[in-house]
Amino acid sequence: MADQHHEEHGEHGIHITPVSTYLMVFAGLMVLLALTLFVGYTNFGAFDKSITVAVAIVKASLIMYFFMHLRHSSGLVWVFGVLGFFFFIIMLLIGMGDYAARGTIQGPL
Amino acid sequence: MAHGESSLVAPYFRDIEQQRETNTLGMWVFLVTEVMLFGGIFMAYAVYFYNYPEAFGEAGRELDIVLSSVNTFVLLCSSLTMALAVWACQSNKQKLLVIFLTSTLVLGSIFLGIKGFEYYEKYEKALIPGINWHYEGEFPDEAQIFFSLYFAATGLHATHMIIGGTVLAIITMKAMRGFYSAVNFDTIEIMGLYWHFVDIAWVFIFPLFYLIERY
Repeated sequence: MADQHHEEHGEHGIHITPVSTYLMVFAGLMVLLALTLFVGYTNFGAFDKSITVAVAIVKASLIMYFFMHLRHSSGLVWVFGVLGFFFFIIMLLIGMGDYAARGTIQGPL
Repeated sequence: MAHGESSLVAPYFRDIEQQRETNTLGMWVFLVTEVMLFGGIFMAYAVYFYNYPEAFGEAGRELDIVLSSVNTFVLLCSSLTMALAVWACQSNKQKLLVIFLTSTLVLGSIFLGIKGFEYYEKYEKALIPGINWHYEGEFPDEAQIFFSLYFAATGLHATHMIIGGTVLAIITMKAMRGFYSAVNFDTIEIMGLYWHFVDIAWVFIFPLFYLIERY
């Protein structure tokens, strides 16, 4: 196709992501799925969860940037998109920081 | 403005771009609230995994890795078809729009079917807390916490799939009647945003519940 590297623009400058981009992202997601399974079945010791979550974050980022059109979205949409995960991270950090500082829950339930 | 466009813009918007931006932003704001909704369950998971890692590993191995991997693949495919549906609508390809919307719906239904079978398996193995819990492993109480979180997370996710699927079915029927076009694609776009979010939720649920210490 003549315009594989040049994106189509609809009326009013609507960005139409080409099919080839979607297919490449999908291929990337498949590779990451295989990687997820590989990481799941490998012993990384203390880094197990971190690597697992890191791979998941890469997958989510691909989906958000390309499938959810963050690539072509305004700054305002970016602020909300990023803010959501930002507050989730804060909840995890402060919450887990509290539990970690107090030590593991001991004894039976 | 393009032909027929002025009738698509609500009177309180300056123009169609502002309407489109508002629709998109509105869905993103909703998705942010959804992040915090699922986030609460992930927070609970983080706390209890931190405290009972071996129990979570043992309980996690009861889950079916094959079915869930297939489900992850199915859901990622449905995200692709949903994105292609948006492309088709923006490119004014009506037939392809209907094909991609229907494919997304079919893939979503396959996901729910497999999930339903997984739940049935859990019932057979008496692993549903509060319904028929009977656990023979080393950490029964902690395993019950794991399965409570499992059903909370996947149940909430499945509920999102069902609601999304219902709305998607309605949109597909409207698309079959030629309701959407290259100037009227906002609905398809924001349906896509919701669908991709539900996919992202599963992308995190899958490794956290199904891939604990499987070596």
